[in-house]
Amino acid sequence: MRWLAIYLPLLPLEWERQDQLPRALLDAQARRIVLANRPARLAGIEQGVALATAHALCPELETQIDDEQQTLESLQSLALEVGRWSARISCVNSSALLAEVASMERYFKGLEPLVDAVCEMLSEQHLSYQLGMALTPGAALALSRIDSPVAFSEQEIDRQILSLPVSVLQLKLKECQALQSLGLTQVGMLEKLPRSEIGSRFSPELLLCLDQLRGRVDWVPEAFIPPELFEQRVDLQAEINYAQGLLFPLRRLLGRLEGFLHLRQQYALVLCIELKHRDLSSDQIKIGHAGGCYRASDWMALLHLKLENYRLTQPVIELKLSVNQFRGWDAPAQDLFDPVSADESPEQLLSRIQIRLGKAAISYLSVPETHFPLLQTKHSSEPVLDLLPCIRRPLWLLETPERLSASQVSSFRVQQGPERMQTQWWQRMGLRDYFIVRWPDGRQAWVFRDQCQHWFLHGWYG
Amino acid sequence: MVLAELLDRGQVWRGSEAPVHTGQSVLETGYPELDICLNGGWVPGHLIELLIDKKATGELSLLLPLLSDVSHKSGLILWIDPPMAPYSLALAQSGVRLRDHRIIRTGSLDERLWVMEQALKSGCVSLLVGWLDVGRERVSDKALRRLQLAADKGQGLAFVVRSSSHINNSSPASFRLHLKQSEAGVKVDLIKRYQSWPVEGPVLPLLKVG
Repeated sequence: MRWLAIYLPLLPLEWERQDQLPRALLDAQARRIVLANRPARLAGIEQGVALATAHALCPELETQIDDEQQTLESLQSLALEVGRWSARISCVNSSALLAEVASMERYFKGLEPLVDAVCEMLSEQHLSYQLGMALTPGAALALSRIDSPVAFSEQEIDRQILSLPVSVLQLKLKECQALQSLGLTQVGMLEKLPRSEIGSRFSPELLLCLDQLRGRVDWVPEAFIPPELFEQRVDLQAEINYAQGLLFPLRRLLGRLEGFLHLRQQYALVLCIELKHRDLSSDQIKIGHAGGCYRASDWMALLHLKLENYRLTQPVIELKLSVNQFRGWDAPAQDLFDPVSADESPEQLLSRIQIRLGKAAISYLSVPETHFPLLQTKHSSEPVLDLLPCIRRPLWLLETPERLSASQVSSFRVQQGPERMQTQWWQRMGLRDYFIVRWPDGRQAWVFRDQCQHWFLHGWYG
Repeated sequence: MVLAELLDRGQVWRGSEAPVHTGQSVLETGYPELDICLNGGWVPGHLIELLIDKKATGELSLLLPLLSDVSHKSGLILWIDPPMAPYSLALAQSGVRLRDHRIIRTGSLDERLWVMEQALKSGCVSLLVGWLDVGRERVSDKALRRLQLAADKGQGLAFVVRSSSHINNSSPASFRLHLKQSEAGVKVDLIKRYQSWPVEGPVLPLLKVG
């Protein structure tokens, strides 16, 4: 197992913000600063500073109240996006994501390209992040708390863990200080001490923490399960006046959609994009894909086409992407000896044809129980070969026999026949003599003469 | 410098020497002379046009060995708008298994093209034969091109039967066969071949009954 931890210390301040204004997060009472971003910290604003002091230090400071629900939602949106690279994701403490990546290593041809892609996605959204990779989720999470480059080899990961400062362990402040005053500043130093001694001198939490870090105790965080239906929105920073301008924010939504579909193993069939205007009215764009599709790039190409000719009625201030029509991501059923990639089962195809053309449009071929060609009422499923007539029948049959004129009768040449056919007496079709004849143009026909000596064309060999 | 010299030095490349249909399985037509012209047999995943002068010129007899072969494998066999009713007894006589056959009747050219495209794309149809010239509407090149692409996607065998009045119109189909009635049988000319030159084909004893 390999776990990648993504620690997002400033997520509530940076989510969907492109600018670099000083921002700070306030506690629930709106009195003190809980979190400040980099420009705010440069202005001297620290955690715990009172609101009034903060405004005095930095008059243009933008503040917002800590909303845990909102933060969790943004973390989950991000989890959807990370779903493109991992099948198992967890949200931890509403500030970090844990993703299992070993199973995807081969798909992405190594972990480096995968980590690079994640980094690119995070930088594109102007998020501050720290990554940690380790063999256990606990260690990955702890490594993401320090700002160090991601290590890929096991020895390097081990070295990084041993040199972790004890402050990153989730310990009580008092205990942390006690350890530091003893000179035990790094995890490696603790690991050298006998376990029983640590257990008797410190709290059991410390041992548990160490065990989780070193993988001696299994700890796997709860997996994030994406919702049934997809619905994500973006508040646009500035109004968008032209349709092509929607593509950039849509790209991010499609990234989330791709992750969502990947996690749920589904294809999206129809995307519904809602464009909200300033006066609360909204427009809708619907775009479908016949076979379903999950790749953001494929949807992007379709949207490109769609938006090329689209005119916005009003400037757009908010975008919402929702999808409620999906198709299962079924692996194509394959015949071992006949590898035809069947995307659809025959039943599915026929049902679609039936929906469009009506029930009567599809008919079967089966062998009639009677030899008489017109009375194909009852059908048996498979013919018994012994019962087939020994004289060849024509491949084509006319729906109703066609009366032949005297000149036509004189123009063909009889090749074989007659073959007498008679129905049961109660069917009253009478007696017919069938002939195989050659038509003047060389084709072969199946004709018969009835009791009144009239000639009829009944089929073609062709 | 003469051509033979250039050929010896490998400076001229001959299309006919190229490996044809590499990695693709072809299905024998049942007529060895025709197999040679088709470089092995019918090629799945390509649109094959059969051009006929009159209905029942031998288009079905030509496909009969193939039908019998394919019907014993998995996959649907679709008949789209045949001009008359295929006589199941005659098919059974030729060893065609009838279970997977479906005949589809459409009302318009648009519907016909839609069904053919969907069926070819789906990948679950092993053989499709469609009669395009039932009504008076002309089939556009674009529509044929779509069918060709759909066939390529689904990798099934795709035949369209058209009137030989289209023989001089260009077509995106990979193969075009012209069936002509003659005294000895049916002459099959390949007026277009995928990765090859057109060739005058053999006379097949298609309509020899009795």
